[in-house]
Amino acid sequence: MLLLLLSLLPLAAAQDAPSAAPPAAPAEGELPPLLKDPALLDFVQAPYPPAAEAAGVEASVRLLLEIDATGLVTAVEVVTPAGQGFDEAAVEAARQFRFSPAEDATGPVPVAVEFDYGFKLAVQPPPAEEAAPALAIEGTLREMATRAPIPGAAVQVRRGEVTIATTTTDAEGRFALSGIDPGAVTLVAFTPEHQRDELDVTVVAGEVTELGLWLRRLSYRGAGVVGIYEKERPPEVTRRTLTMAEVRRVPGTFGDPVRVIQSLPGAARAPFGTGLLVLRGANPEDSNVYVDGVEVPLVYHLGGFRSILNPDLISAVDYLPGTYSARYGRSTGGVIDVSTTSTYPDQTKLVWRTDVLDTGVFATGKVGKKGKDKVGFSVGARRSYIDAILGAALANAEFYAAPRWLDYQLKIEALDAGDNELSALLFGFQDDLIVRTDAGEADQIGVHYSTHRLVLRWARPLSDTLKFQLQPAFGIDGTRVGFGSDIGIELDAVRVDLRGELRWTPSEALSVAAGLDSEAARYDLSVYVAGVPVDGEDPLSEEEPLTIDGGRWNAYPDSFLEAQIRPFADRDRLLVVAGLRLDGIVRDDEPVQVAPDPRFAVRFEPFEGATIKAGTGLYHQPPQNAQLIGEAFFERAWGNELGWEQKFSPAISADATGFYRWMDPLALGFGGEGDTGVGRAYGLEVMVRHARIDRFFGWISYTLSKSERNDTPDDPEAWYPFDFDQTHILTGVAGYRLPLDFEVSARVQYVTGNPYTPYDGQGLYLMDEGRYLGFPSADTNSERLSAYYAADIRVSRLFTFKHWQLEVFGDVLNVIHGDNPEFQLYNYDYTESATINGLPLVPSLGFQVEVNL
Amino acid sequence: MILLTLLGCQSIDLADEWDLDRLRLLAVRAEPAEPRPGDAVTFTSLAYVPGGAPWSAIWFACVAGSELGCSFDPSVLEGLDDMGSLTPEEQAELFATLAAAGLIGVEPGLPPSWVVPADALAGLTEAEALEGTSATVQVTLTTATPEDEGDTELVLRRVPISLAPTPNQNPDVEVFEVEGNALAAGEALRVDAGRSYDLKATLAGALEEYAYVTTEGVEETRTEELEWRWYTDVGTLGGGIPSFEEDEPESGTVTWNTPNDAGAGVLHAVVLDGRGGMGWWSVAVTVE
Repeated sequence: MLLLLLSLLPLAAAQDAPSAAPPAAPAEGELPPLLKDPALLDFVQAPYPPAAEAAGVEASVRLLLEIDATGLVTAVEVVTPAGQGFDEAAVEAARQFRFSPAEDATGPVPVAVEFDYGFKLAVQPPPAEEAAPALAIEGTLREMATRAPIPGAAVQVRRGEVTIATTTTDAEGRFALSGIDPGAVTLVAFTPEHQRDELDVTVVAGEVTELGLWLRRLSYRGAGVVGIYEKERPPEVTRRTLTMAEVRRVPGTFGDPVRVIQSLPGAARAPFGTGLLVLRGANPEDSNVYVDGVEVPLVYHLGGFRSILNPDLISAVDYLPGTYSARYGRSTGGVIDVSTTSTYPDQTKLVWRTDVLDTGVFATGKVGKKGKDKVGFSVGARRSYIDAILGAALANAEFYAAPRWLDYQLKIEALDAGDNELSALLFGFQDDLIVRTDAGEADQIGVHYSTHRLVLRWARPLSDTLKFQLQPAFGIDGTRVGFGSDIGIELDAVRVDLRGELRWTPSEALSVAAGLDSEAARYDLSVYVAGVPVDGEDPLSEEEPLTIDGGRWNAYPDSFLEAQIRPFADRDRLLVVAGLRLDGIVRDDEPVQVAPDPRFAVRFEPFEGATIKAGTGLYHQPPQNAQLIGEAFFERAWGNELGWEQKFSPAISADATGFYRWMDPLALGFGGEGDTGVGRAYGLEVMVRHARIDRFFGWISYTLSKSERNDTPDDPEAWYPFDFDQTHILTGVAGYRLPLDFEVSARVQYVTGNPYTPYDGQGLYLMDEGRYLGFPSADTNSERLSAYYAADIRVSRLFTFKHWQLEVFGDVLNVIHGDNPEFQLYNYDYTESATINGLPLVPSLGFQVEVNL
Repeated sequence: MILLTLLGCQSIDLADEWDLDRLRLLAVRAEPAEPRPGDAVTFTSLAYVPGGAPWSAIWFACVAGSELGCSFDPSVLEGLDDMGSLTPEEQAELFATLAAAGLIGVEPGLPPSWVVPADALAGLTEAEALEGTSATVQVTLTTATPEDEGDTELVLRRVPISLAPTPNQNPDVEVFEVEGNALAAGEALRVDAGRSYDLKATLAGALEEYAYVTTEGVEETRTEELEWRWYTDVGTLGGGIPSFEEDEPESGTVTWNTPNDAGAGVLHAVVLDGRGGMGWWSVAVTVE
């Protein structure tokens, strides 16, 4: 009877981590990935059901085991029953299993694992003969592709149809067989989860035959952490964390985990799949994106198809749409924090991935000594060629524009015996917009972005109750925009970020953190516009060249203080998080501005499986478009949410959250002080999820919301819908694992059409300028485009070889080929209009090769 | 970016600006092009009225202010509807009221003309007065009748006012060529159906040069840059955005594709000098 760890489902138990967490623990509030899977230490043999044995029936029972932080099995549930007494026997035996605890960066954590308990009829050994104690065959059994040793596997020696010896592999996958007469035999190895393998061997008298056997797993699809789960830990009221194992298989994402955010509650549908982050009705520029806590200007490459990091480097994506912790700031919208992998794998892994968009390579491994001192590395790079493909496909188009990107990543981390955790992450990307017109490739028209970041991190425990981490980061950003010889814009930024945190945890009931989250940047701007009217109000005004050359420093020395209180003995029953963040704006030529952000959150479990959550807080940010022009001022939002989470089973859970966000003041244009309005967004988010257990995973998310703006706050009648106000957003995602390592998944989405301002042909012809000034026929954004319907599918097949795996996949976006109107285009005098539709059916094929050395 | 790509891929069939398919006011020419305070200014216009429908135009003018057009009490226009029933004295009184509100013409019948207010440049320094300000001319062209809503075109046009010693002059189109053959003034054009023709319009004389003092106080001599606008109600105009010839900055060209069926219509070439001056050439065409 053999077993296989199929999948791990982290439970909401990080809060159970002992206070003396290991030194590698990340700061509170981040979600660490599992660094160590649980391993079975004590296997208990279940009695074979007599009736089944008599009938010669074999079976396998799939169980779901909940394992606590000490490795004990606390609950057993039958996922796939076999009947005939197998289920009861397997459950009873599994209750007595003992595992080594699973660990994340905070230390041992409880998890749930799937476990196949196999029942195979015992092979009758041949009649006992004279014992031949000499060792005849020994070897190691490993799994194909992963090269992992297989413990507990059955190994038999047959001569003809007769089994003459049998054994099981140890924890290292080793086996040894003695007492085998010389001559030809067949070695057979199998587990319930692997394909049987046979090998003909000749045993020579007096010699030991050494063998290496490889078994192919029946399915490689189940391994890994379940895709999306709520990490119900403070301090965020709503923190949705995406991990890698399955989100890469969600259709519509092109295998990019960050794009899954667009299938979660609270995220509006981005036009044309551009990936604009519109979270809970906030402006896209009001949501921040971080990589390991360091802000980056873009989360997606141009075009929105790919995020800026290689997926293999991403361990988790934290999606914080609302009232998040005081650790995050300088944003009034939501937060996306992408965490990079932090592992020290035993094997070096190479990944090569190619599809119609780009090609990427990635490698990760460990160097140095075994034991406590260890050094891990990850390195990757990608380059796109979608511009060349689009160029060929649209060879006859009068005009087309396509993105071209490349990115790179290098991470080195070390953990020494002194519990110092050190890491350095260097990453960057470059994006170019390639424009071609009927006059040829227009080199003089273009957009160029580049970003580079170096993130250093040092963390260590100072005592049993005090933890410390420091994270300085250095960055360079560049932007170039040009339109021939008439317009040229260059914006360069050099920035230094500093994050530091000291956390004091005197008891399980109290944890206090004080920290810095500061940024200083110098922006240098160079603008040239060939002709700008001297008097912008007069169309006959003479034009003069506009030249701007200048730079300035912006510094945001923010700090925070936060306390987490768990007053009850059952620490999960009530959690109160109170935080205060101080936001600052320091410029070399303006007075210092400071704004306080008090934040408060509560999670309460009235009974098993249920959680009531609530949060409120203030959020300040300097307007993005006023960083260089105009006097700096704070935008402000007041965020609130109240929700209920219910866990119905280890697999099924639901979450309903209501939110209200008031934005005042809200920058309206490119501008300075006074150029402000107000905004409000409110709604309800619901998510019902089936975690990946056995073959199925999926979720349904629904958002009912309203987001409005008022440019003249004194006029209560002047509210109008936000440009991306989408009343209903309904998304369904489902995936199913088929035999032979096939997997299919699908996503369907219904979204209310975006609002627009209607015109009916009434306008004023400004003859000197040669253009019409249209008169709206109704209020701003009072009409809506038709609703958006789309269905995406993904099919993949995994091929496994001894040392490597090949996955071939196909994505089809908008498989129903819906029109999906994106915006309303008017002709020159607003007498006619046409609807511009979204992406048509978009197919993508690709493959991924993964080699474990 | 993707939007641009899609715009390049999707077939969008919207009416083009050159396509004369409704009531349009294409050009307004002030004479003189850059008057001084106290000067009398007359206006001529180039309109397109489909089917030769009856039309009317109401003209207002004012020294440009902070508002987009000329502000007046719209109720003063109500009397125009009853013009026929008014006595001559009442008509005179109504026109006086309208004139005080900025009315400078009602067509047909009262051609637009305006005397630039003597205080149009009041408050400006001598140097600023040389640069001048501008007047707003506001035209409402309509085919509406008491029986029919018709069509209406609202137009704003700026006219510079200054004390410039060498005021701007209107550009005049002197030569109109079809496939290199110049047409005589007023000459109609007969062309074949389903063909492409290269059209070229050329200004009389060289481009105007003028003195300009930059905001930095630098005196420089500038040369006008022309903008050509082409219109037709028969066939299509193509070849990219109609523009001036780089080698011949005083000329504008466009490719005209005649329809496959016989018909008749007009071609207009309108030129702007960017300083408030306007001129045009119109051709009646017959496609055979």
